[in-house]
Amino acid sequence: MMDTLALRVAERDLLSPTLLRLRLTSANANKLPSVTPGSHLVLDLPVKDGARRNAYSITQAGKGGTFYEIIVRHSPTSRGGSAFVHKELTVDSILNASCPSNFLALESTAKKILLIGGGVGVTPLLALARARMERGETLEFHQFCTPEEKPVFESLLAPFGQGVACVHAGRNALDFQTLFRRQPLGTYIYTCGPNAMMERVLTEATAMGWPERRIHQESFGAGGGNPFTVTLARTGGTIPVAEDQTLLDALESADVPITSLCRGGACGMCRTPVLAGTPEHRDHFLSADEKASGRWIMPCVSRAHGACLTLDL
Amino acid sequence: MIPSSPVKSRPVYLPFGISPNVQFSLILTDKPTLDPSCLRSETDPDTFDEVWVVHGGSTILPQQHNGLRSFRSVSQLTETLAGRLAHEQMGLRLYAAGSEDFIWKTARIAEQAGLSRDEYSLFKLGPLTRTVMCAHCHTLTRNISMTLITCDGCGATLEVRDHFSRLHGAYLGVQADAETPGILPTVEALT
Ligand code: FES
Repeated sequence: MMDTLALRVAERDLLSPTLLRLRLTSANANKLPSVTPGSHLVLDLPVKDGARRNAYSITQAGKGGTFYEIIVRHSPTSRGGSAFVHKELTVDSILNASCPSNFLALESTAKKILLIGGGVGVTPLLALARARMERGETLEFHQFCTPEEKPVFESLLAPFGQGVACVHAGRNALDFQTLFRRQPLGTYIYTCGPNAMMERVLTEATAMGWPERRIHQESFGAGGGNPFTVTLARTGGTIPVAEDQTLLDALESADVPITSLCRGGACGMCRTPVLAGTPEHRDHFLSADEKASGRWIMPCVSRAHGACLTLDL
Repeated sequence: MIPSSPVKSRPVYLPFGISPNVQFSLILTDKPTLDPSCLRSETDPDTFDEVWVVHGGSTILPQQHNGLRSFRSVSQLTETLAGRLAHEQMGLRLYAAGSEDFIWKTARIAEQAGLSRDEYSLFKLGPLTRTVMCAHCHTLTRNISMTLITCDGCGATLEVRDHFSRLHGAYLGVQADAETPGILPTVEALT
């Protein structure tokens, strides 16, 4: 099984009413495993009604394994992990986490990277951008947010400099076609944010001749949606999935054994056969054909169209 | 785009069509008479935005193409290409059709400019001849159609292998009687 890390909250910094930055160090003074930019960490969060395992991108890692930094968004409706992080964690709290993994690594041959973030999707992109900047490599960073949050994101992106990073209030504040058309050969796109935004990036870029392999996306497990019920065909149980809960969280809370790693629809570890019902796919792992067949679901991000889903579990 | 053949390094070329939805397409060829039958039926040479041809003195196809540019030599074309790609934007597709060493030379320039395998296509035109690189003196000997040749550089008798170097755009040739000195394998036509 995966190695577990014991982490201590070393610093806690409220960036905005809903964005909390945590600096985590090793709880037993060990060196933390070194990470590549784009990595994330899965935290075990002992919420009241069981345990939540939430994935958070490492926005910055200290040299020599001294710390990891993450930014956690608390949505007012959430009763789950992020609420726990905001309300319960204080300096010196101890947490368990799985060793970091990376499903959004930098392309070593990229001539340039174009980063497009939405809201808290900024987090993995910050690490990628910082790595490129430190190596003196070309990047361009566009971040979308609400008008109220513009100052927060502007300060997060300030290190990259004007002309390189730009914060846009509102989704129509940037014309993707113009942006994509002026990118030099050898550019890769990294996008993280709401699904609708990432879809728009993918459709518009591919329609302009960008190969799909040049576009890397990362979704975060959250997102939520309509509540539904899963039936487990083998064991015969029924489990409700709340609107702010992922299917994976619901299965884990009910002690259904299921393997997972990225919790972001990228690694393929959680792939589960579907026997009835229609999955609403939100992952980047299944091919278009596999998605259309409706025979598989990635429970870490995907949900159900309709009220129920039957899984081969 | 290039499926593997029984010998891993030997490239297999498919007839090519043009990718839809691209911003700009450029085809390069060192064959002044680009035989349209080599292109997939739905591919109209006029749909390329630009056609660059190494002009061998004979007719150039397509005859009346606005984006047609002629070059005196392969090296003149490849140098111009490198300079041009440095200023191009995403959404470009590059096609190269012609002799094997020519198309792989352009592939190398494309890669250096940042193009990925999805963004350029190679197509071999012309007779089934090979360019052979001598494993001993590294000289390239061109227009080879038989399995045994004399190296243009060191004069060794070389056996032509299926091992293909993408870097040199050439097949490997090794001393033919290396195993039993004086005994040569039978000469066959290359396929
Ligand atoms: S855990 Fe990686 S795809 Fe679901």
